[in-house]
Amino acid sequence: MDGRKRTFATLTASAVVATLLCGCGAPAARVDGARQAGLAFEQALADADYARACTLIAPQTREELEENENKPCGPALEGQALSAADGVPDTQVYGRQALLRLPTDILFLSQFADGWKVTAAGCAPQAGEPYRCSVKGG
Amino acid sequence: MSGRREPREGRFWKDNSLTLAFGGAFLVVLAGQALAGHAGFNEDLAVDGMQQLTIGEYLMSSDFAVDVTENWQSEFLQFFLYIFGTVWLLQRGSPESKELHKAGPESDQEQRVGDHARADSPRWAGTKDWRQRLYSRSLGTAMALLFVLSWLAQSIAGTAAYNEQRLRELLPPVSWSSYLASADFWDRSLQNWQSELLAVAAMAILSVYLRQRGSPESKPVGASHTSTGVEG
Repeated sequence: MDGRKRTFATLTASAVVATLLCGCGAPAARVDGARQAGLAFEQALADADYARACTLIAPQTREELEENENKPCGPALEGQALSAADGVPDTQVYGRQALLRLPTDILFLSQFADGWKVTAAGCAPQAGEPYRCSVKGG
Repeated sequence: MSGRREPREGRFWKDNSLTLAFGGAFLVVLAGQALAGHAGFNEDLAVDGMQQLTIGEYLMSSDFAVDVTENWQSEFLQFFLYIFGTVWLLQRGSPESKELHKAGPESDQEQRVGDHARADSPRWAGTKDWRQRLYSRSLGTAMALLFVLSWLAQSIAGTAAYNEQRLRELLPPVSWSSYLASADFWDRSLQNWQSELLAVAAMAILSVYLRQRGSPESKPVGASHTSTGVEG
């Protein structure tokens, strides 16, 4: 009986530790993926290649942008006058969501089947409230 | 001990049916929770226009981890409190309580430790040093340890799940220490604790007056309401 109790305790403790380790932190690959997607978006803005930047925007955000501006994504994005940023962003990733803080822009991203996509751009913090973003989903 | 001896030969499944039945049911129910949680989480993601998760991805997610561990910690807390609490706390008439004159850790003779250990006593019960002290509290200590580990796991998984939700709402993530002071963490913890404490209190008092024939959790059906510490 003592052996069985020990086995039960060991198995349960192992399960708890496994739970601790899984799904809670962001692996380096995921952080890097979010960072690269954000930087690619900023580079497309810097190159004024809005068609390329639009391929890096999440579907719902893109639809919202096109509906609000009543234009295709490229011209609609150009009209937002987003300032392109460079440098190494401060990247925070939780699960499939990420926040990138660049010197002159803040981006929110989400992981999709075909990679990380920008869900909000041109964001600025507001005390106690969600970030105010020039481009965002519904 | 005098009296009837436990049958020594028995089939494995019958001999361990209590652990096996509840262990198996645990896995079935955990699978059900995973399926329901997966469907609910994907509904939320669809509303936000996010990529939906496969069941495998959901099983590795912080959302699933926090939902599982918040319940685990409360169960282990319940047993820890019950094991330690029933050393001192009594309930007249309840089989969950020991006899009223036995409150406290009891004598070495009653607990069969040290010089009073018997040939079939666990080895550490017969020692007179830290091993006896540790083994004398090993059940409650194990439950306490499992509670702390589960609660820690809940806090870490909860931070990740909470922050993932905040990022979907364009809010900045919070640190682990900030999450420990958040309403989400305490709501998840306290809603589980209150239900466990209610169940223990209900069991202690209902077992005074109600019976379950054949269950060791109940007094014998014909036992008086005032008899305490008697199991059927």
